Formats: sequence, C-alpha cells, structure tokens
Amino acid sequence: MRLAEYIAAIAVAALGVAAIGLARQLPYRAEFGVGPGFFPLWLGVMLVILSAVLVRNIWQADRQPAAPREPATDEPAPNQIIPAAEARKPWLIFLVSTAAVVVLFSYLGMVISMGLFMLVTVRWVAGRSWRASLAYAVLSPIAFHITFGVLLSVPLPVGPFGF
Amino acid sequence: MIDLLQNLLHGFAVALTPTNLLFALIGVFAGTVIGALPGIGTVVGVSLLLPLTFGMDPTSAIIMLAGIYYGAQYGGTISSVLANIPGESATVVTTLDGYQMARQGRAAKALGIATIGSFIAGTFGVVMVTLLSPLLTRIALQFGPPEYFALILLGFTAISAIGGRSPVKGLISVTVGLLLATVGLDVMSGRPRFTFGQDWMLDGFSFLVVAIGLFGIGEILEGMMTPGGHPVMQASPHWRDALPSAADWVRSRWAIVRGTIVGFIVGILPGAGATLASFIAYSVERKASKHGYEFGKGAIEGVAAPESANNAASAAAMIPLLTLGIPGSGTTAVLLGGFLLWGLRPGPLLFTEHPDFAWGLIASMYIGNVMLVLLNIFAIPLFASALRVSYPIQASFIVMFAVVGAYALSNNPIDVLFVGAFGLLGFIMKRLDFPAAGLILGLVLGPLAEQNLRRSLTLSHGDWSIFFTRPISGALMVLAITALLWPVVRSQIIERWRGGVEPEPEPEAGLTDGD
Repeated sequence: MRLAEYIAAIAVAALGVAAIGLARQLPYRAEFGVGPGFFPLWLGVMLVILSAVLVRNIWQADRQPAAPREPATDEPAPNQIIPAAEARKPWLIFLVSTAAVVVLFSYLGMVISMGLFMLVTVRWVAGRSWRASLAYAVLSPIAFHITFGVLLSVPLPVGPFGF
Repeated sequence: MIDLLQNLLHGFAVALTPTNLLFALIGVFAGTVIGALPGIGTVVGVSLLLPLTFGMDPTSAIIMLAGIYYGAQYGGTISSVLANIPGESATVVTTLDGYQMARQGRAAKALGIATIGSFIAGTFGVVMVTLLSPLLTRIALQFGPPEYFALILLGFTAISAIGGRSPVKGLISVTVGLLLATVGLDVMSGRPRFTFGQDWMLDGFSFLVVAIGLFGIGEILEGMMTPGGHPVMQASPHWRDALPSAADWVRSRWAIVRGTIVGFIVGILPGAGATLASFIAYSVERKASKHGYEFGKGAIEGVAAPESANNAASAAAMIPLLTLGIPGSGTTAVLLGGFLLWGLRPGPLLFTEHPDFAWGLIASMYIGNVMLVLLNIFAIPLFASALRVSYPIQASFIVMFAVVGAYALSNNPIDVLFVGAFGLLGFIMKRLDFPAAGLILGLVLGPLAEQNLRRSLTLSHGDWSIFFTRPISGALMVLAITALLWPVVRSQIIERWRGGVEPEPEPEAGLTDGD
C-alpha cells in the first residue's frame, strides 16, 4: 500500500511551497550577509526537491515485482496506518480516549480526566473487569496527584469541583 | 594529567553528595524500568521526565537524566531476553540470541552476561569520556561560527545517511525539524517569523512538546496496533542464576572486548548511536567467534557483544555532546535541549564555566555504572514482574505521563494540545518509516545552525568561501558533503554492479528513535 507514502510526499511538498511563500515576505538579505527569510526559503526549496525524489523512489519501488508474501503475523504491515480488523476497535477507542484526555485535561482537571481515561482504557481496551477498571480509575489519579502534585510540586490543572 | 585527576576528584565530590547520589539512584532505577517496558525507549523516558526537573539544580537534574539514559540501555535487555520484545531499539539484536537462551532455561545467564558486559563497556566508555573530553575541548576552543556550522551540517548528514532505510526520508525529517525551528522570534533581526500574528507563537515550538508527542504518544499509538498490545513475558529468573559460569566467561570475554571497542568507535560519531553500534558488534562477533554457527540459536556471545556495544556507544555519545554541543543520538539531542533550557550551553566552555556540572556528570557516570550492575543482578525478578502488567495499561499510564509532562512545562493548555497533534504525526511518521529523531535533531540544532550560518556570512560580508577556506571548517564541509552524497553514490554503484537489479534492502540499523 503505497498510497499513504504518496500522500506524505505531497504533504511534504505542500509544506515546502507554503514555507517558500511565507519566507518570501521576509527580508532575504541583511546589511552584511543574509536576512531572516534566507534560511526558511531554502528549507522550503529543499522540501520540494526531496518530496520529488521521494515520489520517484516510491514509483520505482512500485514497479519492482512484489516480494513473496510472508506468513501472517500479528505485526502490522509496513506503511499500514489503520490496524487490522481485530485490533481496530481497541485501537480506535484508545486513540479517541487519548484525544479526549488531551483536550479535556486543562478544563476537567488532572484527577477527573485521568480517572475517566483510565476507566475507559482499562475496561474497553485492556478488557479488565469493572472492579479492576474502577480501582485503576480511582487509585491512579490519587497516585499521580501525590507523586507529581505533592512530592515533586508540579502544577496540575484543577477541575470545576476544586480537584 | 594531574589537572584531569583533580577535575575528576572535584566531580566525585559533587556527585557523591547525598542529594546527587539519591538522584543518580532514582535515575538508574527509573531508567532500568523505562528500558524494560516495551515500547518506551531512552528517548521517550528522558523526554517525559525532563519537564519534571525544571525546579531542580541543573547538576542534580542532569545526573538523574544521565542515570535514566544509561539505565535504560541495561533495562532494555530485560524485556528483550525474557519476552522477546526489545524495550529499546538498541537491544533489538539482543532478542536474537537472548530470547533463545531464555527458551533454553538460561534467561538469567543471558541477563547476567549482558549486565557484566554492559558494566565493563560502560566503565571503559566513561574512562574514555574522561580522557578525551578535555582534549577535544581544546580543539573545539578554536571553533568559530563557520566551524560550528560545518560541524552541525556534518551531524545532520551523518544522521540522514544512516537513519532508517530511506536516506531521503531521513533528510525530510531533519529539514521539517529545521523549518519548525524557524517559527517564532528571529533572534538576529528581532522579527517574528511564521507566527500569524499570534503572541503565543513568538517562543516557537518547544522541542519538549514535540519530543513528548512524537516519541511518547506516537510510540504508544504504534504499539497499540498489535492486537492486545505486546505479549507478556515468558520466564521468571532468579538473581543467583545470573552469575556466568567459567565456560560462559571464557566464551564471552573477547566478545565483550570487541563489542566495547566497536560500540565506542561507532558511538562517538555524530548520528550513529547505540542501535547501529549493537548491530555492527553482532555481525563482527558472528564472524570473529569460533561458535558463529550457534548465532541466532542462543549463543552467549550474541548477547555479550551487542550489549557491551550499546553501553559503550551511549557513553561515547556524551563526548560530542559535552565538548562540541553536538548530540550523537536522539536522546543526547533531547539532553542538549535540556541543557539549553537550564541556561547551559554545551561546548568547550562548559568545562571551564560550569566545572561542577560537567565533571559532576562524568563522575556520576562511574557511580551510576556500579549502581546499575548491583541493581540489575539483584533486582532482575523485580523488573521482570513489571513486564507482567498488560501493554494497554502500561500505554495508558504513558499517555498520562506525557500529558502531565506537557502541562508542567508552562501550565499552558496549548502545549497539551500540541503534544496530542505531534503524537499523531509521530505515529504516522513511524508507520511510514520517517525517523522522528531526525525531526527532533533539526528542531534542537536548527537555531544553532542558522545563527552560525548567518554569523559566518556576516563575518565574510556574504562570501560563502569562508566555509571552505578555513582549514577545520573546510575539512568538515568536505566530510559533510561526502556523507550527504555517499548514500546516493553507493546505491548507484551497487545498481551498476548488479547489472541494474534492485539492491537488497539495507538492515534496519541506524539512528532510530530509541537511541
């Protein structure tokens, strides 16, 4: 599956073009030597060239005869972005839970957001019992609070309930 | 020589204070656990724990982080041998014979010889750091902006040439990192760049936010693609079984010596790192050993050589970091970012301006090695038990470490969101074989590269020949250009030689994310 690689190469080229466009708005030269636009402009040019080389490499690799199929393993195939069917559901739950904890961490506070995150991942990703999941959901934020908030004096966000 | 001993004794006086001893112990313990857990390499551990050290004295902080750095090399062996899962990219090759030894009931022997080899190699590496650092520092004092720019360029090209299977992807990673480094206030002209009028973008991207996202969250999302995560451990060893027999020692001693030498030489090169060192040491040993036919079936030399090599390389990578300010690997790049955050500039002046820091760190590496050998021999059963926790639960804790670490940087919710975004980017990069370590190196070294380039051109009034007319920078530039072109030339030569047949894929040895 080379499509993902082609998309990545196009994204790199687009980043390069954007860098060139934005860098052209900055001075290229300074009184002596080069200005703030010089470095990003040439980095943008490099990205465009490298993406073209990458597309050529992928295209050449596509033209090679396919390698013999290896025996099936649990490991995902190279370039595979979405997991195989049996791992897809827990992976997606984990991905969405991670996205949710990243967004809600600062608003719900560490204790509540971590508690909910642990409950979901231990129950539906690790497949543990409700009792074990609730134990992780309650005890993990307390352990984090004591270790980071109290012992290491790391500032942690506080939620609407004051913890 | 007397100066050297005096400095080293001063370093021991710093490292042996009760506080610093405690931090060294915490570091090596945490490093061993981090190394033993599958999917969390040294670079992840150091990235996650770096924000928590901001309130600490820099010397204590670096002593703890260095403990994590080389502790993880020891710890990575545990999961490689017991569960056939490399906890660290530098211990991938250890699984070949280490796990076979475990299946034959010799798990403790494999762990024991790995620990002893690591101790010998690590100590040799630190002795060489002690001897070579002042020498290299004297050379580095002659460096001006052109020499630094040429050296940084050499570091980038070496990484891109050996990073992963595709040099082009390595170069793209480094270039994207360099581009990200230009976001924020330009220090030379005072102009904002690519900030889109947003004040919060003036500081640019924090390398730690990027590192925590790419390595912490990215690695975990990748690990979770395997159904049920990684398998749990297979064996339960006892510490008494870890001591090698006379026959094991006779077979392993030269493997340890060869592994140590190979590891040290490879580790000192910018961008090479412990992973490449372990692969080269394994193949050298396979050819040199009288029992080469046993390799892959549980040969003790197949564990001793790469394990010695990765520890010697870890120590060696500190030499370019401390003396030149050039990281030799992904983890030392993160450590370099830490130095800058603590207000320290690694390089030749570090040893004169901050002797407590530089020599305290070197002395702590001696102490850390002794702690690690004791910890690893006696605590093998304890670390083995950490592997029994299922992977999804380990992964959940790592996500929370990443989120808390990102928030702790500046109490800014945007940092946490960026960690999530870079986590997704890290996952995609890993799946598509773009080395994330290259991006971090570009981001950390980008400002240094740009400032030295612009200072050089200011010195020469815009004349680019300044990079080639000065002897040191000229030699470094030639080396950098050769390193840049070598992969392309090599593939053309191989293609011609094979009559147009596609060359065999290269081994996956190189600067990978766990170095």
